[in-house]
Amino acid sequence: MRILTRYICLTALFLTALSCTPGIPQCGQIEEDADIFPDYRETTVPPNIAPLNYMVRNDAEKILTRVCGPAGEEIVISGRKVKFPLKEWRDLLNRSKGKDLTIETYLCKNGQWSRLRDFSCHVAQEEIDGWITYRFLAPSYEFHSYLSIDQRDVTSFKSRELYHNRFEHSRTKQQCINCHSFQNYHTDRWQLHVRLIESGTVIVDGEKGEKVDLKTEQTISGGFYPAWHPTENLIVYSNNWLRQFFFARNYNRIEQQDNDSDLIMYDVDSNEVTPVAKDSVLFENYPAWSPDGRTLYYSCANQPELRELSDVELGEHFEDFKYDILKRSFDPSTKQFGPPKMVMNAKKMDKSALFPRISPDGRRMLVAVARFGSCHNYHRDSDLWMMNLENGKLDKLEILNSDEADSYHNWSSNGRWIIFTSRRMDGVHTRIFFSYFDKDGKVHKPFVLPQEDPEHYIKTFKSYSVPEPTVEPLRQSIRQVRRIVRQDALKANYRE
Amino acid sequence: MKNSSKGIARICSLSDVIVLITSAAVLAAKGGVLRKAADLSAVSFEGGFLRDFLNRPGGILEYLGLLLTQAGHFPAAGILLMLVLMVWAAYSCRQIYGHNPFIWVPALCMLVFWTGMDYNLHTMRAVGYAFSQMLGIAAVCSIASLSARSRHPAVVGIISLILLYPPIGGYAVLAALCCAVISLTGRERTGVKSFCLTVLCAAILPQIATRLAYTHTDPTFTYLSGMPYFDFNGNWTRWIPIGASCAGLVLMCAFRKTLAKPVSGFMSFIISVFLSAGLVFFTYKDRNFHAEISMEQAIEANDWDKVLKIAKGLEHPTRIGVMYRNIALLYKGELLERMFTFSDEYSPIDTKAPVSMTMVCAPVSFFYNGMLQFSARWAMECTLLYQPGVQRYKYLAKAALFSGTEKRELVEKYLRRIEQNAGQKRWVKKYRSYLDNPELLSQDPEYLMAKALNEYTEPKFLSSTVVEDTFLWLFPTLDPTPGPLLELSIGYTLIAKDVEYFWPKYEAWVAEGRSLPKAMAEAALMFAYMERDEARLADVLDRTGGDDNPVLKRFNAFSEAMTKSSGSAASLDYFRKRFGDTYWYYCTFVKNFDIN
Repeated sequence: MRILTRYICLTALFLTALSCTPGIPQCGQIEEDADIFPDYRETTVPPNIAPLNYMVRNDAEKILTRVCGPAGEEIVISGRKVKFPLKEWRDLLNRSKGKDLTIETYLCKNGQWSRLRDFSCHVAQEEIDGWITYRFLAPSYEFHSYLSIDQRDVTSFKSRELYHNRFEHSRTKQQCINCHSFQNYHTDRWQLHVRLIESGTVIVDGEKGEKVDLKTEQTISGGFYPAWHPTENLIVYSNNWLRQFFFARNYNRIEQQDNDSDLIMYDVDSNEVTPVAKDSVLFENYPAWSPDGRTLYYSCANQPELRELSDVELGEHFEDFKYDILKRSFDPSTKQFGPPKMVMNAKKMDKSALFPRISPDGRRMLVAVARFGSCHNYHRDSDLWMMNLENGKLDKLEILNSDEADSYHNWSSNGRWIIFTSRRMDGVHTRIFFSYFDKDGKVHKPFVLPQEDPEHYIKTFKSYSVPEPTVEPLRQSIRQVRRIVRQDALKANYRE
Repeated sequence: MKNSSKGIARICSLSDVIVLITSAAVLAAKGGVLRKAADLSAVSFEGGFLRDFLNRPGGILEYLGLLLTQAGHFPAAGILLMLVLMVWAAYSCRQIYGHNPFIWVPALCMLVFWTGMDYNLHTMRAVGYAFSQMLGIAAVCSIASLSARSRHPAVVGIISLILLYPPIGGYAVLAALCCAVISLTGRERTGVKSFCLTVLCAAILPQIATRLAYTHTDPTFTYLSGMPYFDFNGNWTRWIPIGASCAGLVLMCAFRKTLAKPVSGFMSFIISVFLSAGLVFFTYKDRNFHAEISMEQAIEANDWDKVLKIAKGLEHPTRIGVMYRNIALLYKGELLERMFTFSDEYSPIDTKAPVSMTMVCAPVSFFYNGMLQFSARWAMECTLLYQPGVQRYKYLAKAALFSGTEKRELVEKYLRRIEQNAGQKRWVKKYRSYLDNPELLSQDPEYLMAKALNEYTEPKFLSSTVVEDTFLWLFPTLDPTPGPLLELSIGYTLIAKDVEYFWPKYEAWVAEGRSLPKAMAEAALMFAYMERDEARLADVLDRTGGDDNPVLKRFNAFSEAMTKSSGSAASLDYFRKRFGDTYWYYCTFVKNFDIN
């Protein structure tokens, strides 16, 4: 009995010791900021985001971090790597909606503790879509090795591969997979392009999945950049004849250029391709639907002088390509498009605007803007701008942009979060960033998709590209997707 | 062992010594290649990196091979490690079929796989292949020896298959096959049943594992996992040593009772000599291949004299060797003096593998010719097309650092990966110090040269697909710019034999008050003579020493010989002997060499 009692006491003592949070030292605050990576200081975050794990880079022997909620709740972490327990983090954020978290950082140097300047993190009321699908690949240009389409649960650190190209790697060819796209933030309808091996477009519609060859004799190529109609089973694609070339000295390293491009619409139910914009003079690209599905926005370069040039000459005029944003009305009942109308005359501003994305409330449009060109992913001066579609006012979103390429943007389904990719961390590898867009139309400081290991972005040599948010996870397993990829491609029919 | 001499003989016979010494000698001759293999690989100890290996069967074998390849940075250690693995394999074989020279067959065949490696070395996708295959066969020999000493060899085979297929992949299947064969030839009365069961397990279990557990693997390669199945496209003969090693081991397990019979000392000697001769015969001995590796290592150490010493010994260099020697000449400021004094009898790279010169030398050649972004581009592409490598990361880091337009974080990222590899701390420390202290960078000779070679306006459409094609396209067309760029530009103008682009550069050169180097003087004389440009001719003669100068005398002799020449092979030989070190010989007789 005595032994049992002793045992129980010892166990209780041990558990108590384990559960004790480190004591917060009593010390003065110094005029020094916490140097943290990634930088989550003064950001606004959704209440359902995964823990914002980061590391403190200030020089110190010991480091203590305390995150305080508005009602006095706190989490204390000791060590250079600040990794929050998931459950406690979620509780803290749930209780802090619409309010600020205060983060205190304590450093111990030469036995003396000091407190750095506190910083805060605002927790928004509105949540962000729970899943984000992206391409995970090394930042190559012409060749690629192992690449995958991954889906990440942004409320935790869990992710899974939807598909990867390792199945089809051969000695001579490498399979490329790209342009995953979902209908209206849901995953019952989605699509994916496969190139080089088992090529075609995988289209999943509910339980049915098939592979389609969108290339017809009348079109430049198969489908490229997709835009799924928000309600109908229709997908508008760009058709592109692309090429890329490399610079020996140019700041931008590489240029990807449209030699020709048009827009087509693919009717999934009838397996038919119809032209949307097939002008022999214009270069049309990057389609995007309005949320009500009654307007199609796209980028368009109207430069007839360039059309006369040969292939080689076109390559010498890459800086002359300037894209505007146009729109066409669409009648879902007749599936007919109206005439093109100018939305944003970027050429007049001596700019090139690509990739229009309309907010879910239909009032705003995000675009990627750079000095020239048809692929801003490689343009270091690429920035995100926002246009108010009601009054045409342009906002250059200074707080969002960086000195490296900021591009491939999207809206969350509630229109409160902007998701985009940026190479700002090291200039080469793209990362996914989120920025809060509040009810007053103000854009807040962006933050990077959190990872379990704060050093993840330093260690990984892969890029996160084409982030597409969804409100639910994908249902298909990797083997189910593979089965569809391995099907013979159904040839699409062309109709004028 | 009854006494020490018998004990020594039991441990190690004369035939063992012959094989080991021959292997050591061949490996020593391949020390530079082993170092290159280490440079073309990169290890990391981070969780994500290791997880990739755990996601496929045979991944642990590959990772261990990659770790052991680190020894290549210290070639003596690498050689020793390889010999240790060979001895391990041989010793295990001895447990199976007794002490005779055939115990070396599996290890020697695997060694031939390594020593027979040709230009494929530059394009290998399999990670850690230098050691992983030898490690794999040694593991199989161990399992087979265990099985041979066991009462139930089939059980050993099946258990080892279940336990070892994940870490060593196809080699576990091979081990199971060996055990199956041993059970057939063993004491078990149920030998046939055991054999069939083991073979069935070897056929089915890996398929189950691949389909259920390994979603990252193409099931087509189930039985080859851990082996370099993505490599040797168009060069299937590279598989012969691996096949011979595996098949040889299985056969020797089948005939172990026959092999266990004593072999006379003389026969042992003959067999060991034969095996050793086979190793030497099948070792890839191409002079250019080894020279280029040494030249590259010397270039990276900025040892220009060593580069030129190696170049001098090459009678039929490839264009890679030519580009490397021209780099050394440029950095010594002797390009236009000596570039045509070497052999002009070029040869293509000697390989059946579909390897282009760009894949072999692009990062190095572009970097040292000042084209940092192209160097980085190809270092990146090769990292993805083949595998990450310390050397490739180094060019990525240096290009990012020297360009001045890349972020510090990018350079730091590459440095961090490089320093996880053996023998790289000093290199990383040097370049990290440049990040912290840009003044140090501004004193680095490579940086200064890269800066000087970058002073031109980029033409709008410049391909970087074929290295020398890029140089031949760009450098002759550049406007004359003082400094090393002018020298490089003239050099490639002469290689391209472009008279039109030559003269403006000649004018710029002489305007700087510089004397005419040998190749330039010879070219100027020849071109002025061909164009019948009296004014230019007079100017050239004036700069080369007047009417009685040795260049003119030699040119007159060349012209006279050309007039009398019959155009036969004998006369070509005559010209090579008398004028092979001149630009006139190059311009007249050297045509249509392959730059691809």
